[in-house]
Amino acid sequence: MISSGWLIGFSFLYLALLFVVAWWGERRANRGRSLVNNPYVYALSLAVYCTAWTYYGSVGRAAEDGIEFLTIYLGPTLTVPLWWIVLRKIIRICRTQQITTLADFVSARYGQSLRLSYLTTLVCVLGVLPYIALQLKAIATSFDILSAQQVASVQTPGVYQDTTFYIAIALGIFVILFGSRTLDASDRHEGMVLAVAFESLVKLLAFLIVGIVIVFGVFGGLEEIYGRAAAQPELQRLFVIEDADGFSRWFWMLLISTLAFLFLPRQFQVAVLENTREDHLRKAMWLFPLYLLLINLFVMPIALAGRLTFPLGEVNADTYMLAIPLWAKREGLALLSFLGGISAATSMIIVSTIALSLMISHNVLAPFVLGHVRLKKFLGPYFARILVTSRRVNVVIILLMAYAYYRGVSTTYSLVSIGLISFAAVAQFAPAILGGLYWKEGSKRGAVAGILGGFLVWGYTLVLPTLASKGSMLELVMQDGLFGLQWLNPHGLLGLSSLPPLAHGVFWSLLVNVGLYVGVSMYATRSTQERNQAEIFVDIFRYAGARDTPIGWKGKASVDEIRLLLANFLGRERANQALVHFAHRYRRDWETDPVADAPLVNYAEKLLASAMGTASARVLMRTTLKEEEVSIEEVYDILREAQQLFSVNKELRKKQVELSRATEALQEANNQLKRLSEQKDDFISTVTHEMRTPLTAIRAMVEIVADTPDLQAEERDNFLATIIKETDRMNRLISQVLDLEKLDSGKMSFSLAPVQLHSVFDEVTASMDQLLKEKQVDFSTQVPEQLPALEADRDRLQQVLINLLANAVAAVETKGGKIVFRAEAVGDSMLISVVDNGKGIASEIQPLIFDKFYQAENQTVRKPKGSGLGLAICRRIVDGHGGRIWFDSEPGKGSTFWVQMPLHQTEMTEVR
Amino acid sequence: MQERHQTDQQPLSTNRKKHTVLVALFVGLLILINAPLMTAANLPDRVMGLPRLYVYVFSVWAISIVALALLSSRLGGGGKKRGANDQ
Repeated sequence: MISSGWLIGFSFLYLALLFVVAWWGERRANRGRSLVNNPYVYALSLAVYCTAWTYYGSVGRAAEDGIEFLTIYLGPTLTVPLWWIVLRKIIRICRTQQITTLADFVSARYGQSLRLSYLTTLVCVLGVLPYIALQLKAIATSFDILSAQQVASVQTPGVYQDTTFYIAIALGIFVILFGSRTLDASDRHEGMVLAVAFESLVKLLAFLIVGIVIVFGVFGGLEEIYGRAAAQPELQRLFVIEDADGFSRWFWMLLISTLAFLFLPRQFQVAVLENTREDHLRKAMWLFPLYLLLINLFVMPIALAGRLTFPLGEVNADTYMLAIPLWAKREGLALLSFLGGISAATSMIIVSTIALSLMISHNVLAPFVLGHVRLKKFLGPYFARILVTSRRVNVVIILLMAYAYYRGVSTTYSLVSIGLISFAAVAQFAPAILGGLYWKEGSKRGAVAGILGGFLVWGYTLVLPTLASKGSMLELVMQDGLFGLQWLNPHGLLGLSSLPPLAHGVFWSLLVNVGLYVGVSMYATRSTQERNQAEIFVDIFRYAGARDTPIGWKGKASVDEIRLLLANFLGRERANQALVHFAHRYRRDWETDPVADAPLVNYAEKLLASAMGTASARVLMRTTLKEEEVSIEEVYDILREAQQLFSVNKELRKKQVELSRATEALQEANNQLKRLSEQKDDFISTVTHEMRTPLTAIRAMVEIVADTPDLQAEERDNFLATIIKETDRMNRLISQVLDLEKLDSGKMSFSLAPVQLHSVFDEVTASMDQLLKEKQVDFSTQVPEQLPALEADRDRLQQVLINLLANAVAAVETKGGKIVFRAEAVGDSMLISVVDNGKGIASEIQPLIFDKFYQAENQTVRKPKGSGLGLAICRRIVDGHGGRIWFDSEPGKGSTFWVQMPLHQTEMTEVR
Repeated sequence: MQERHQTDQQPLSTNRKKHTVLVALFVGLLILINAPLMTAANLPDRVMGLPRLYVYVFSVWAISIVALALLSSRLGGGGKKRGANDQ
């Protein structure tokens, strides 16, 4: 249908694009402007989870078993809430321990155990290799379907004519270029991650577009597809989970995909080792499930569309993604679909290959070489180069083996079964890893026993049956059980034959695994190194800088020995650089004291670990330096110290917070003082200004009188009267200032005595009589005949009333002004009011008028007359009597000032 | 104060609470998409033209994503750059 030349060109064009993307990512990273350091790329890179198995296999599985395929994606979704707890912890541990692979992680937790290092690598390689082969097969199949005339007539070409072979080679080159260039494997592979994220985007878009076109273009929408399927009983069957068996499979598949998501080497690589910031988890926690949901939206409709289009058995359901577009004569769409499949397959191959190749060199090759005295002596000087080269060779070997597997074995199996078996293999790490994260007693022996036991059961119950061909010995075992013992049947251990095979295998392998892990751990003795690591792993968040915590080393070594060791394995230049860095940071002076202390040894070990894995680094340190075993008591002492330091730090931090709070309060107080001081200054300048006005007038008039002896008597009297008036004004001002000062400083005391308001009113009216007459005010008093006596300082009360009255007089117009003085007893207090019909008080200054400094602060809106102290004094006097003063005012209509005073003073109220 | 470690040194109680909510969400999801609860939606009929079980599963899925989006924004806080805790 589509010429194979076209397809080849297209595929390699796409691969070339990948190289460009990765190259761009590396370049940006080298310039310090990382494209990978953001949560979106992180979330997309996690989607390497969706392989060709998702892309083609989900549709195939959905077409046969209905909704069950969703478990593979629901499982990871299920665990997403726990990422923040579990995955973050793993990420933190890997960072502080310089862990470079999954096998490193397992082995480091159990005291850098070599055995675990080998075992984990073995399980990973055996479990994942078929899975890589599966991706190659998917590429090959999709290629054949698009290029062949008939979907069924697929011939396997020779290796040299096989495009898949060349694609594998191209991927190998990619991985070598972007996955194993530098010695320091703890460097993140930014180019690779960017390319993988890009591929995730491609496969998602391709799937969605193909889905939309098939459902809405080729068919008449979801309604039609589901409607037609519902009409056929054998398709309607796919709408539900059929029986208890279905639910049991559902549960077990959820379980293994949950575990696989965390512990597949490729997932561990992108989620943990390539993670740039823990914080990215927060966005990825909902972006990743969203990605999974989107990529699954059209799986079922496409599967049903395939079933509706092709009779059962004519077209492999795994190929519907390509077969339907071809059948509908939409070649462009088929090509897009093909592209999506390629991107899904290649991203998986790339990441898995990197992860596995690192694992083989760091966790098998390096510790093996370093552990043998002769080999080490022989290869030591070239070790760094060997390490990098071995990673590259591993890439080639892994890809070739996967290719061989695909050519030899995998042609007979559907995509999904291999994938699930692979999942079940890596699920065997779950007890050792999860247990290791939260259970300090989990021991190396337990972990080895658990993984090994689980792995054997996995092989027996899940792998063996797939290898049994007709008439072979194995087939007999499948029928009658091992040695003819039915209770050893791979599909029915101990007679448990009612479970579906996959559930059966997962159940038994995990049961044996957990049982051995826990059981053996309970009785195993653990080395110091192991306890040490257990402590750090479980309580990683409690140790401030576990990387530098000098635990687990005691011995004698000189700085030169360390320098030599590092130079041997990392190169002279890098070793020197690292040591200079360390000396600078920890202020070490090796000229005077060339003994390597524990932090330096630790630093060196971590440095080596980043290049060759933790297990190898441990071996190297142990064999090179004169080490003494540290007793467990010493370790605990050191740990306790670290923890104490940590809590001291915490305490200090708390103190610091308190201190900064106190500083803030002081600052605030200081500001207030400053403000008050400014106000005081303003006030003084206002007062002096007020004093100068009358003083100037007095002086001018006195001069006139003095200089003009022939002044007429009438005129002179006039001048003298003014002088007296002005002097009075000054006098008043000064006494007001003094009063205020006394009131404010608390020096004034009130002489309390029963006061009759009538008499006070009379006196006030009398003293104001002149003023009232001048302005021709209509003044009246409304005071009941019978008023109780008021306990107050008579003079001060009078001062208040005079002030209020004077203000009222000042406010009203000449002629037509009206002022009323009122008083009444309300309960046990006296309510006095002064009502005027003057111009009122502008609303913007209403809140301010009792303010002592009101005038000083508001030079522009000053009252026309008076010092501006009257009301401030009034308020202090009323307050001093335990009373209250307030006013109502409507600009233009007049104001009413209210004074409420208690009839009896309980005690001498302090005047503030 | 800039150097303060973010998540692990918050008051334990708020951290615990957040963790509890996360674990609860996990358990809730586990229950929602397994037997026996899921059997209630396990019928061959269709809702709005779509199989009932699919509508159910995808709804639970979508709601969990929304819940995660809301929750995750309250986790941790500002976060820190890789290696910031090396000090």
